[in-house]
Amino acid sequence: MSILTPRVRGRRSLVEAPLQTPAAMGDGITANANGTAWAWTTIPTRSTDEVNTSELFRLTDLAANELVSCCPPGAQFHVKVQWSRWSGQDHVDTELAAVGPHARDGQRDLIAVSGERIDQLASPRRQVLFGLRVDEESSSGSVDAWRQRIGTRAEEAAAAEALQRRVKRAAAWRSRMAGSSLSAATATVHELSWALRRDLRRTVDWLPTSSVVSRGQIARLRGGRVTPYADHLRIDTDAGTRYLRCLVPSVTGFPAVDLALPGGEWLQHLIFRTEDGGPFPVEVSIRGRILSARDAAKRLRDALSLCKEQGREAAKGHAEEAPEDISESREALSGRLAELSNRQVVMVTDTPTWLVEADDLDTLNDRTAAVTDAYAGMGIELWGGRHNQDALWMSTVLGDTQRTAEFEQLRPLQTLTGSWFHGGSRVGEDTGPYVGLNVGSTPGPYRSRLSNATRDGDPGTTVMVGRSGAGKSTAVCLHLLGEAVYGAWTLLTDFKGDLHGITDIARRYGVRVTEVSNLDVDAGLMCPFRYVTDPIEAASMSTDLLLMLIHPSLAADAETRIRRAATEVATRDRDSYGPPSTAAVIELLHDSNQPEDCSLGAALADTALDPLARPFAGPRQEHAGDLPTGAGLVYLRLNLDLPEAGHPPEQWRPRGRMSMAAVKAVFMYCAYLSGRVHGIAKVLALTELHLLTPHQMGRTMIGSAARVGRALDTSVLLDTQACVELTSIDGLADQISTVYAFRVKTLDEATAQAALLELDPEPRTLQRQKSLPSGQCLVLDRWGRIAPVQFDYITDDIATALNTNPERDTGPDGEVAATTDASTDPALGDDQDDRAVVAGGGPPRARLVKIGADQ
Amino acid sequence: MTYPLPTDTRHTNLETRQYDVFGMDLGEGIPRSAIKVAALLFTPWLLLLLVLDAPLMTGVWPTVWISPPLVATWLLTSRDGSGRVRLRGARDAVVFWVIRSHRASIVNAGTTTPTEPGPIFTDAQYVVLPSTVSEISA
Repeated sequence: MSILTPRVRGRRSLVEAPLQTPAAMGDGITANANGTAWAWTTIPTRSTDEVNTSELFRLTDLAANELVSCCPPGAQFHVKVQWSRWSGQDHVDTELAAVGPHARDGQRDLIAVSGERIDQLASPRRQVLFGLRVDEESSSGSVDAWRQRIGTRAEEAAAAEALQRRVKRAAAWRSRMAGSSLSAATATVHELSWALRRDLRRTVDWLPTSSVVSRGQIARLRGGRVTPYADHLRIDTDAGTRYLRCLVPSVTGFPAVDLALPGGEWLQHLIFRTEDGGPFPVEVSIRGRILSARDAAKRLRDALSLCKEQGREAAKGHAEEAPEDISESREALSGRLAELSNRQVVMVTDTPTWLVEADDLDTLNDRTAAVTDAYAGMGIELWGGRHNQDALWMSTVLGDTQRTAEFEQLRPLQTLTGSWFHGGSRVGEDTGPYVGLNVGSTPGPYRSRLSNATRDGDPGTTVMVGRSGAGKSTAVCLHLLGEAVYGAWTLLTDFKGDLHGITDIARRYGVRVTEVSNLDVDAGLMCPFRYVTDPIEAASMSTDLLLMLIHPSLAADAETRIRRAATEVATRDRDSYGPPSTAAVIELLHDSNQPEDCSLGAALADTALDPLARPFAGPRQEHAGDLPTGAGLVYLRLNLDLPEAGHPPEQWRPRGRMSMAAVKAVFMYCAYLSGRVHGIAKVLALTELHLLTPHQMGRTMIGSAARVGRALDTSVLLDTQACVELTSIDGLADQISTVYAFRVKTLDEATAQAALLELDPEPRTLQRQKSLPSGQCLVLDRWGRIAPVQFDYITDDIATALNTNPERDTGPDGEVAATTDASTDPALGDDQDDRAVVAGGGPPRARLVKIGADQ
Repeated sequence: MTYPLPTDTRHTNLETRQYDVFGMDLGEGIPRSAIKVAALLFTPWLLLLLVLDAPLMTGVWPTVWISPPLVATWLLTSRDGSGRVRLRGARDAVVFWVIRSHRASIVNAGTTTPTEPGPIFTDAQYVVLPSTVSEISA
């Protein structure tokens, strides 16, 4: 070794040694100039915000056990939790690629405004890196080092062999981590470069594109200036100077026994809020070592010996016994040694460092206080280092080393995995229309494409449950709008009449819209003879519908007559009698010379004129077109007057019977039409089902719709206020893949929702379901992940179109009509940005609108 | 039902006490860290006063002999917000302000930090050139 090269010796020199950063980076590996090499993986976010307690315990144990099996004893590790921002441009690029090169203007427009909205919200996006040092040589490496010293081994050959060993070791470790429940992926050069640049510059203006980064590219990533002060650091960024402070736990800052799950996930919630400011994310770096059983036992035994010595010394004199903490420690250490010997625990030493960042010193102090207060509530004492901010910060940088051991914590590995640094609120699809914001611990845009479930072979039924005014209908419309714009065949039933706005907004995004209602123009449009290919099958369906119009006491006698007439209409010559229809069946009965048939026909003829019966039994209007089987939106509007809940069919009013018949006709129509649509996604949205579920017939229709939907590759969306009744439908639960649980009022509904969400009905779960804000819900996606989501109108025009609040005329006192609630957005408010600040132009097209109390 | 997340640092970072010194019982004990610091502070202070031939028992001098090192010991062995004795914090401050070039920026990840110059040889046959670039930048 050249005598001109300075050596680093001892702990004190380590504090003062210059910063070490990688000299070269490849996928999953970094190497420093001094030979230090690290293997890197990214840990994807797990959805742990809303798991059952028992499941949380199981996953914590599993993660600890798997880390032990993946990482060799004595290995150094480095966990980095960093935050960027969700990018609207990424969304636009991904979605345009998904819709293909022939995207329509409407598709591009919706994707563009969604991208603008994502940029506007600027949600923080978390990246978790887990690194393992792979250059700490085994005995064979030491032998090589000695050979090199005594000159029996060429330096270059030794270096090449060492490099090969490290690369193999890194690859083997990454492979084990990928196969574990952590599902770790090899960290790409892009991710590693971003992490390094974030460490050194805070803003990322450039990243290398090659697969291996070295020399000039590394120099460019390293560019920047960091100035340490007594209690903070100042970093030059592309957006000006940023102030940074490193917080570490005090020497005994972690509670010995009081921290526990649930509630003790000390690294899962890293977005804090100051009293007068917006939310801000905090980054964390944890350097540590997984102790071998021998090293751990030695540490514990040494401490135990000290406890015993203190006890003996105290017993000799007037003190008689050592302070209470000594006896507590003695007991705890004995227990831990027993666990260690039984292989129940693996011990780690780690030093977590929290990085708080702000634009100015006052804000930095406020944020530091907010973070320390939050952790004090968990019993964890944090300290903002004085006169060692530089050493603390350098320890957090990719490629550096642990510089101070004073704040090191000794604990079982379960305490580290129980911090859930990789936990969060991941939910939803990775691609698809943007419909809302994930408002859990790892926020971000929530994308949903219901039709993906059937495409992938999963059950295709989605349910939206919650009380009136919670935001279900808006959520239904947002989903359907996205599906329709993306090219699906969609059908929406509107039994209340307040969802008409979707037709306007869908047309604005280029969707072909067909409207069906009780009006004359749509008479006969849902007559089975019109859309069913087989006339005999149509006759059977028509018979069922006509029988529903008759009082059950008369149905037995009428069935034979109606069926005979329907069969005759189905089989007679069309050229002579015209196309068959349900109206023609009624006419045949009316014109019969049998008095009973004539009387029956007359009654049915009068009934068929009623708007409720007109769509399926009214005379066919020739100028009314057939309903589309291609991409677009079919909007079915029916003003119903359903029977009272709990009344058997014998007690239904005539309008109630007609309404149920109309619903039956709609369900028949939807099922048959969806079977005729081929080659594109299909989504059927059935709303206000709580009007039907009180009746056995209604429950049967809904269950059948879900089963038929799966058979016909159609996604079915069920919207209801009555979760208890919905869950009582036989066979429905097996068809459900996605659940949106909005606010409820009663405990029974909350319990039923918990069952749908596959959550235990714990008091905190039930209480939360009763207190969700409007427009917010818990989502269970088809992968079993649960997280809270706030639906988002995206733009003003969508908000106006989909608002279901009733308008009021301006009164004499100048009362203004209440429309949308244009309060400030749920954005996080921090201006932390990975790009340089861009000078503003005109106001953005997408204005911030929060969903109000609408249904 | 809870899942404990214990940390054993408190049990391995004990403040030990000395219960007797040279056979003299110290009652509930004195923290050993205080004894070490006191020894470091009292020794030079007492030596200084001895050299200056300061009076021992007259007027305020008994206080002068005892109080400054005693107060300093108490101050330096009390715990600050980091949980360490204040002596450590004082050491960090000295290192930050005096030994390290305080407020010296870390430029380009420290790659511009000049390394300490080694000995300069005037006889050319003793100049050793490093064989790899990594040795220069280490």
